[in-house]
Amino acid sequence: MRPVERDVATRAAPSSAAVDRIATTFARLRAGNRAGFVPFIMAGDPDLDVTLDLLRAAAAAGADLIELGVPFSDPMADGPVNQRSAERALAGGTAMPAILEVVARFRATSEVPIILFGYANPFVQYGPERLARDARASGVDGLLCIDMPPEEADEVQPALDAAGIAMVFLLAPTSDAARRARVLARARGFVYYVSITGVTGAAAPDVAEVGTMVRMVRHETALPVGVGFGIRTPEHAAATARIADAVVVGSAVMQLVETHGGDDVVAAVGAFLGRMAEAVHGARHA
Amino acid sequence: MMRDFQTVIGHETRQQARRAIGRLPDYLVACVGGGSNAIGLFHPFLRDRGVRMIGVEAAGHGLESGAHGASLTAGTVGVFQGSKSYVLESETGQIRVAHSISAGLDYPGVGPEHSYLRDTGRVSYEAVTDDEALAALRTLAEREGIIAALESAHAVAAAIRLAPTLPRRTVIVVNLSGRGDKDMGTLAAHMANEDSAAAGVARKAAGAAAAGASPGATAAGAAVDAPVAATRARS
Repeated sequence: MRPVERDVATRAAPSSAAVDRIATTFARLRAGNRAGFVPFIMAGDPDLDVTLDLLRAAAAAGADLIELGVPFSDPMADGPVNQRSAERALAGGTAMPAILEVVARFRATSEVPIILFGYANPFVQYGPERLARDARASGVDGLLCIDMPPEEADEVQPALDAAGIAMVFLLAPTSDAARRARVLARARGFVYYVSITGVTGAAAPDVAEVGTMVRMVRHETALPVGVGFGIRTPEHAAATARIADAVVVGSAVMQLVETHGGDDVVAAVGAFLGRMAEAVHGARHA
Repeated sequence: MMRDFQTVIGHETRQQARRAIGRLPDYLVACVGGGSNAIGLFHPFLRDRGVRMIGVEAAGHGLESGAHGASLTAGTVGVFQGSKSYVLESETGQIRVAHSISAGLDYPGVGPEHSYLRDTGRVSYEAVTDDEALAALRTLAEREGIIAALESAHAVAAAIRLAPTLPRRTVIVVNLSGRGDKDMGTLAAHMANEDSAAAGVARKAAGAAAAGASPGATAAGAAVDAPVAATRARS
């Protein structure tokens, strides 16, 4: 089964520098028998200058990929922490062209892949072709559109494929085999497994249950499998790193941003990300 | 699925019309927030070409004020809460806060089937302001002894506007999708002071209180008996 699925994934994936930055990262991680650490940072919270500092701090702390949140007024997959984060970002007028400028400034000094993480409407209103072109030019590597199922992905995926930007899709505990096959046929870059049936920052997932699902998904795709939603402690991150190819931590980061207004926010987030990266990278070697 | 449940009212309207007038009505008028009561009334008549349909949205303080709930009349196409439909949104795709005196119409999106019916022209959509809805509610109460919900009063207002333009014996069905009992607090705040010098001030205060009480709005215009049926994710 596996070789066939690998062929499908290889054929589906567009060859380009942008996707290669994701693929190169996972190849490096695999060679070192390490899971990747993927922090989530909401663009524009508290403002885009700090966002750039946070991106650089994340890279310095050992982030292997970074999910950059594009704020949306009605973030239905997010818990209260990320909702408030998006509200703060939107109150400051955060919108697409300025977000991409931050990516470009980050990209000038770092090769850490950036995945835009957001909801369909801001992407759709920006325009799929324009989005793909501008995101590519700024150094974006992937895009995860939470409320765009594969059935609707034709609205943006062809443009992203052509620009070499990986469209990342979600799987959940409720995704059955037929659903997984449909999603995986569309998936690029890596697969994001939502570890709980809930919103971001909700209760911590059961690692054993997540492991069972991740093993199953791994037999169905050659793409790496990242796990996120609800992971907030180094212990939890390490346990997840033993079963997944990457560990995503989001609400815990934005919770720190919320509680550390002012100058020490970058230092506080950097220190937390350093501990989390260490836990993820060392998990399989402890 | 929701539409199919709501079509009870449409099927019943057909039966009652046949019994009462021996034919189908000429016009159907219903308020549209999320659009469920309207789609329930309209859907069983969509193939009856002689039946014209009007969906009535909330113009709030007026369409030009920006404080309204008229996604179909004044919105643009966007993706919101899992469907692509007409929504109230900014140029960057952020969903705007809607306003209506009626909680059930205070919603920045609309069921996508209404967007389809708007684009095909099968149903026409218009908007009625808070003040027009209040006046219609009062008229219906005084003339017929029926206290309609504020949502439904938007449909009544549109029917009152429409009727004088039509020939006699034209039959208009207005969907009274909810009762006004639930709106007594709002009505008291708006009507008690109508003739006093303080009217404008009171109206503003009540409007602010209503907006603060339901920042998320309800999902369905027909859910007026349970006005907080489904709040938006933001809350």
